[in-house]
Amino acid sequence: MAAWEEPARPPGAPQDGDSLEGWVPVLGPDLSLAEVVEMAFDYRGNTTVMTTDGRALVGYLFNRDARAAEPFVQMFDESGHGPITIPYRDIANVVFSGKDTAAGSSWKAWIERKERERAAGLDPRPDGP
Amino acid sequence: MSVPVSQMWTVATYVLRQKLAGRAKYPLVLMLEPLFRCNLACAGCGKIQYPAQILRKHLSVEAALQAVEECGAPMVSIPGGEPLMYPDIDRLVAELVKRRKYVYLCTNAILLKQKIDYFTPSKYLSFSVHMDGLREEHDEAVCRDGVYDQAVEGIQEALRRGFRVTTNTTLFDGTSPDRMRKFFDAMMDLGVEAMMISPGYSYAKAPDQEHFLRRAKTQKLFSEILANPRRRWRFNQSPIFLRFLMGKHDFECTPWGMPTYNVFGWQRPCYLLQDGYASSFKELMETTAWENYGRKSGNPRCQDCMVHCGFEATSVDHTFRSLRGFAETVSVTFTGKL
Repeated sequence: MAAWEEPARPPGAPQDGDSLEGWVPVLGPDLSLAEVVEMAFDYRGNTTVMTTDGRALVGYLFNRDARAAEPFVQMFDESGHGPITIPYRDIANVVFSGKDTAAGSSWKAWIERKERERAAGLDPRPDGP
Repeated sequence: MSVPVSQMWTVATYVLRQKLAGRAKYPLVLMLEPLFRCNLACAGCGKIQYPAQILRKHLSVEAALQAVEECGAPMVSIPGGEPLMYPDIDRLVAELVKRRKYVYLCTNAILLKQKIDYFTPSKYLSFSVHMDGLREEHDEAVCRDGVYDQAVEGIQEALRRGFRVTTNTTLFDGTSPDRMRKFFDAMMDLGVEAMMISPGYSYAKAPDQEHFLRRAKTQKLFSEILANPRRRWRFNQSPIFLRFLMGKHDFECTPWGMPTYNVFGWQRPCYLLQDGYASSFKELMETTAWENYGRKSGNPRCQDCMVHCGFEATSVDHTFRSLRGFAETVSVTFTGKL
């Protein structure tokens, strides 16, 4: 049983449901900046916000408000400084540059180890306390 | 009795004051997350998956206290992350106790023995120790062997020193009702004051996506676990909430009942969902589109949620909404029959 179904990604985004790690969005008719910002907000890794004046701000995008009078995103940079507020109008693109911390690799390693232990016939421990 | 009389009195008078003031939306418990860093990476947790610079961040005590004042709730729960890794946890707790807030410090207890000297026993402070079952189930849930034993040692030491100790337990699909009943017995044998139980929330970011409970399964599981509850079991939560988990009430969520404050600000709309952040409690309450949340809203993320942070407040409100609700709560509390 899976958790609730996440909403479908826009046509211009990767469709396989896997992590967006490394993705460089191509904005166009199938993918708007607002859609990319929404996915960046949901992403649990650092992103790089490319600004219209050519800067690249790397950090964790933790908030956005597309309905505000002046839509904006907020992020903490790589050093943890912030929040840095950037209006949508100053953003050219958002690149999914950082590691996806929600990829679950440590949990997978734990499960694999436990399966090996069970296969080796290790008995469950007593209940306690 | 599962909750001290003074705490029950504080909560009851607080709720009645809100009702007399005509406030339709009021907070009951502030969920204060001073940091996201944790010394565990549990299978069902979607709270700690952040880049390193976010995990290194923590609230200042001053920011935390300002949030407590803004919110005004009589109870403060300190989850995380692991709050015993918060460098100012002693000062934060002391300040909250000084303000007569009932504090639940939610910990996996790995560091409890080591840091117990940071704290002074008080009726306002309870260590709420994360225990997801007996040894095998708990270590499986937290993805590390030996944590159950560490938690038991921490509980024993805290009890020996006169602290209030409760447990908090999250249940997932596959839980054995019989094993859970044995676990309740084990916690009572340990001497904890009371237990809190709740189904897990389907965090989209949690590593294990296969074991979250759907609504019907939640009701079946809790009905089996809580059928004929033993008199010795004590729960640190509304008995009406337990009846809700058993399917005896069909409540709507109260997402503002347990607002969350953390390094990002005031989390919209609740402890479980992250739809953005407000810069003040007032902004959170006044500008969140509350109608978009809860089962009736049709929001798919809310359809199977029966978690305490949304429904405990509804249950408390049910108690104080009518004489019938009050009578039901009194009856269940004193007879022990859910």
